[in-house]
Amino acid sequence: MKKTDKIIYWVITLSFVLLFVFANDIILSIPLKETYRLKEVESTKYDEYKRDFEAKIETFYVKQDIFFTTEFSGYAFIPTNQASPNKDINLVFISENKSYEVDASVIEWFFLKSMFREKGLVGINHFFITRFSPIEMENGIYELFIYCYENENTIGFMDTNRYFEKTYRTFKEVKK
Amino acid sequence: MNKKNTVISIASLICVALFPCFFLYLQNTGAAIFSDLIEMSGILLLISLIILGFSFLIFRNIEKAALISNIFLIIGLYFAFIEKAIVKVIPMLYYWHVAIICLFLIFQIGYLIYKKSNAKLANQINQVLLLIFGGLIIFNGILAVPKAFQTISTKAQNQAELDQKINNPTSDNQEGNLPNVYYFIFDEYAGFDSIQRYCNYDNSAFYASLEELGFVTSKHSVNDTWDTYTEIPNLLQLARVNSIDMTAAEKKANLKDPFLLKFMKEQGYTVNALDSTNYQFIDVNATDLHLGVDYISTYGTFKSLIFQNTAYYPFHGYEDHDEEISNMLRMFNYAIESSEKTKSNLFTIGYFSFPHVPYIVDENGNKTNDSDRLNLRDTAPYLAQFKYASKKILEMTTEIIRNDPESIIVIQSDHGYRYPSHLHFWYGIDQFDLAVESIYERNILNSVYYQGKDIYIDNYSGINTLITVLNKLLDVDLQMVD
Repeated sequence: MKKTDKIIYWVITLSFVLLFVFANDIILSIPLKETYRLKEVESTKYDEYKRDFEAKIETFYVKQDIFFTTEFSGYAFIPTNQASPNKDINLVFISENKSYEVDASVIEWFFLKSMFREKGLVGINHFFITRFSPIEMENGIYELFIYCYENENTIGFMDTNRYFEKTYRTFKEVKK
Repeated sequence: MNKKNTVISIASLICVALFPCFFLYLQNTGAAIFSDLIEMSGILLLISLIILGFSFLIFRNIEKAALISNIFLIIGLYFAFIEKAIVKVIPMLYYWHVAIICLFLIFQIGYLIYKKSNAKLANQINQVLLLIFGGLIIFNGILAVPKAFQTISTKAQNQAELDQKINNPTSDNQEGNLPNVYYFIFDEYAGFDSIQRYCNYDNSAFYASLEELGFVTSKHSVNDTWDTYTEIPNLLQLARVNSIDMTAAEKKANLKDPFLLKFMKEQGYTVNALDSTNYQFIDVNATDLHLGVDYISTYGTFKSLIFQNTAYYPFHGYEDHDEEISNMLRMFNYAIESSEKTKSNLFTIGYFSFPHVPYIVDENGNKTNDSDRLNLRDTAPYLAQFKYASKKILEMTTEIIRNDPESIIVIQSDHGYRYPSHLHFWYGIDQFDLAVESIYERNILNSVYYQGKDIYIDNYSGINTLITVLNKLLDVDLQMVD
């Protein structure tokens, strides 16, 4: 075997090994349409904002694709005097060992307009939807929290009392 | 370059590439469509030749290039099986890990072939592959020959019968102002007794709502069979042209030139069709207008059955679920819009593959989990979709009657809920006696809105109900079927 052939052989072999070891990170870093990526966070990150506010998970759906794409939608709001143009909603999954956070798109949802009016809310941007792959989460049972930012003085972090179990091949709601 | 070895190399590649298509086609002689086989074979051959071309550039030897191409194809075409086996042993691995493992394997084998093997050995392996895959194609072909002959002979017979019917119209033309007619078939919408028996669900409220709108309903109507490919051609030909023991290809052949559509045209109707499924029950060539859709679900197609085992499977049909929901809703909307088109002489016919599997929505119209999409084992996904179908049918008929109160609306299903057959054929569970259950599996939805007036259809089958409506509407004497 020529020396250059040997070098090429080992470079390719090593590339495969590296690709294999970091495959999850590489694949999940590919930006997918309308899909967010989970970030590992400290479980106490939002503790100072803990309070009750109006929030509901309306749909939870796991697609059986290669990413096990998971979708959550619902609404969350804390009454304010003015509309919240910079509103931010995140979902936070907390287990005994690990915590992850995922962004959600805040959407104007006209179907909830009457409810928002009843509650005396300003604006209609209180609906959220997020899609992400749970693959990089450590296996375990997670409690779901919602972080809601209306403005710098109105921020909340609330427990939904809903639990989700992550295994290598499933992500499903469980009772605790 | 040895000519014989070149032929063996290329022939082995062709056999490896075409085996999945031919296997599927020959195993389903009569059911699969020949043009699907040609299309899919063309795609796979093109891919094989591209792989062979690249391999030849590297190896500069046709035998070696064909061997590595064959290995690449075998891994690519049966990737899903390889993935399942690996993931069973190491569950933390995902699609991309298996893809990397397979590519690495191909690289290693390719390197071995490049460095260590000679052309003679490569040619011997190609010969073995040619024998295995070529032999399997021939073996499956021989098994399929009797079925193919049967298909050809009955096809000619059916065509002759249909030609005779079309050339001998049953009535004089009656051009003029005729009320609009809407005819909708909901695949596997269970009749009153069927849903009660298998889901313990009392659908009285739905029937009461239909009757309140002015419909006449027949809760205990049954069709002859529980087979869509038998019943729909029979309904469209207004005769029992199909029977359950015919092959699927023979049954499909009778979907062409539907007598019902020709007859309505002869009477002065414009035919407007809705069918957004890949089954294509309604021959659009026989229609004047039809709902156009940009995307047809790949569910159950020849192509999808081939792709589902290959390395390409994650990228094929990934939009199906959303598009199926959107097409279904579009069909209901199109039916309503049709009632605003004109006040007379429009015959709108629609086939809804709904609430038939795949179970795409729950009872509120929300998207189901993928695990429920093809779940025939439990009754819950069907019942949920059935309830949503009922809601949509009531919404649609209410709107049509509001827009077009002088119209005639026939709403039927082709058969009832086939729960015992699903358990038997899909899961091998013989929980029911199929002979006893047959009548419930054939219990259909059967209802007619005849301008809000009475019409007798009690216990009539789908065809006889349709014939009764047409005889009354057009003053013709179409004979009821036994």
